[in-house]
Amino acid sequence: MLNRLYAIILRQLYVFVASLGRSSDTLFWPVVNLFLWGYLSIYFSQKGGINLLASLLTGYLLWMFLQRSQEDLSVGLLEDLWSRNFINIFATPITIWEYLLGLITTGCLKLLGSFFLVVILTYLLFAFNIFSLGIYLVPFIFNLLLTGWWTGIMINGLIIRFGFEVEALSWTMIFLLMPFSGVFYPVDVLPTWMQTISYILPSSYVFSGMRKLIQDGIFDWNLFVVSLILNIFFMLLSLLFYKKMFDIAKEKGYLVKNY
Amino acid sequence: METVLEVKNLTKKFGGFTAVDDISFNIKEGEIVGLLGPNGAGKTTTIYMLLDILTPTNGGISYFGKDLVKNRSEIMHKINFSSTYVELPWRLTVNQNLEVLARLYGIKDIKGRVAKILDIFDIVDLKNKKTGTLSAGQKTKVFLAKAFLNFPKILLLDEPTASLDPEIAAKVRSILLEERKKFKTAMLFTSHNMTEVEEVCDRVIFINHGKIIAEDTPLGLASKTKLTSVRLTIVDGMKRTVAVCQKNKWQSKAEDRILNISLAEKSIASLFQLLAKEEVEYSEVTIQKPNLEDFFLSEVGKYAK
Repeated sequence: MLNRLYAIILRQLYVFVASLGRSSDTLFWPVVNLFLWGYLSIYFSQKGGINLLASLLTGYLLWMFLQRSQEDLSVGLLEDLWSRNFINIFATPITIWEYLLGLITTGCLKLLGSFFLVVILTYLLFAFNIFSLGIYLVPFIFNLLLTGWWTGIMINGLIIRFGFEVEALSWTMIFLLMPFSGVFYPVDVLPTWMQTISYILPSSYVFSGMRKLIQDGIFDWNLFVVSLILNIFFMLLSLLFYKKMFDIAKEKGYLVKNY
Repeated sequence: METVLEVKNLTKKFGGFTAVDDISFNIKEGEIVGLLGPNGAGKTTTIYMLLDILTPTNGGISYFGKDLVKNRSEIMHKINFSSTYVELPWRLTVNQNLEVLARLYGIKDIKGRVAKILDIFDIVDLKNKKTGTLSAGQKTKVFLAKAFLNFPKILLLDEPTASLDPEIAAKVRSILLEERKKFKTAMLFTSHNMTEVEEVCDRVIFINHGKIIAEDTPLGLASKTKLTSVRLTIVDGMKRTVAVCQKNKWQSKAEDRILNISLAEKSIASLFQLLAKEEVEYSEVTIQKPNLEDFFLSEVGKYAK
């Protein structure tokens, strides 16, 4: 009996070690949640009189743009890989850029559906209207979409290069940005080393701008421009990375071996 | 006739392993060329390079006189492929899959073309079925239908009839030949079914360990196998017949009363003279001339040794 028990444990451990997805369930999520709820608690204990509901709900709604735009881009690619359809697609006149654009467009359509559903529910359940932020919602969303896309493009590059071993990044990597982005709390509550990382993330400027708008009624153009410049930089970097990963996969034969 | 595909010194190395080793060949308009070789010979690797989804280590590929890398999108409009190693999205119906691919190939009358191709391959009844629910044979037919969607000038077919029963495989072969006749479609065809290759291909390229070993018509390759097989049902004189074979260094193999002898075609007359001299009595004689399969086996055997 002990031998059989050991066999099952061994089998699970092998999967745990070999699969990023399994290990992320055990290690990644607890750490992310700890950061998120820990710093959120610090923020709440330090600050009073803030519009909590508006801050949290707007934070969540905007975060959805970042998360969904990245996830739809990566899962779109995975759908073609899971169904072993990748070769069919890339043996047609399509270019890797057209394919990427196709995934981004599909992601936007899906996101639109998710957004309106959540906006309606937020209004019905919490009497909160995100459109009260007015036209300023557009630059916030635009920057977050850009962040989601370049993150997604980088993850797609990694999936094309390393295969299904790294597919879990599609669901996990974006959450790595969450504690540093200050979605639900300002980055000031973070320790210095975390703040340093926050400064290079375009999303942290968006969420800072969002809080400033909710609390002081001011749209900070500086924060928008910094976020945009960082996004453009990371977008260019991600496109170069994606092309490089695709070329390596084509050269090493990963496209035909894995998919 | 126009050369539709030209392959020059194509090489693919994976680390220290050479999968395709400096091969050159061309295919002309309307020509069906068989790419034969044992498993691991480099056939599928070659096809993937021809589809530009695998980068060659060396060498060049050009279609219609244009370099594949520089004119990829233009060329891809005019070529297509079918492979047993690739799938279509299982959640989509056959119709949806073909529609998506037709759009990728830039076909104008998508509905009309999909309907026509479903009809040609006799799979109209499958059009609303999810691809994942189809049998292996049905999937193969759908794949072949997909391969003809864009009126390709050249088709790359990697074991296209591998999972079809003999009757459907014969139908598919006749469709391939008919399409070739109608549209002058050139084809590069890999298969392990030698009878099929003999029936369909105008020319055969035989590769092993990534190198081209021979290139000729199926008949030409078969004739390179020198030995003919003579099968005798011996009524009386098995030992004497075996002795005759041994003396003349002809290979023989006995099974009950049946003896298979391998010898050069020109020695057949001597065999029967000697059997008459030894007063061997036999009831049935079958003489089998060498075919492509004999060539395949002899070449693969040579390398195995």
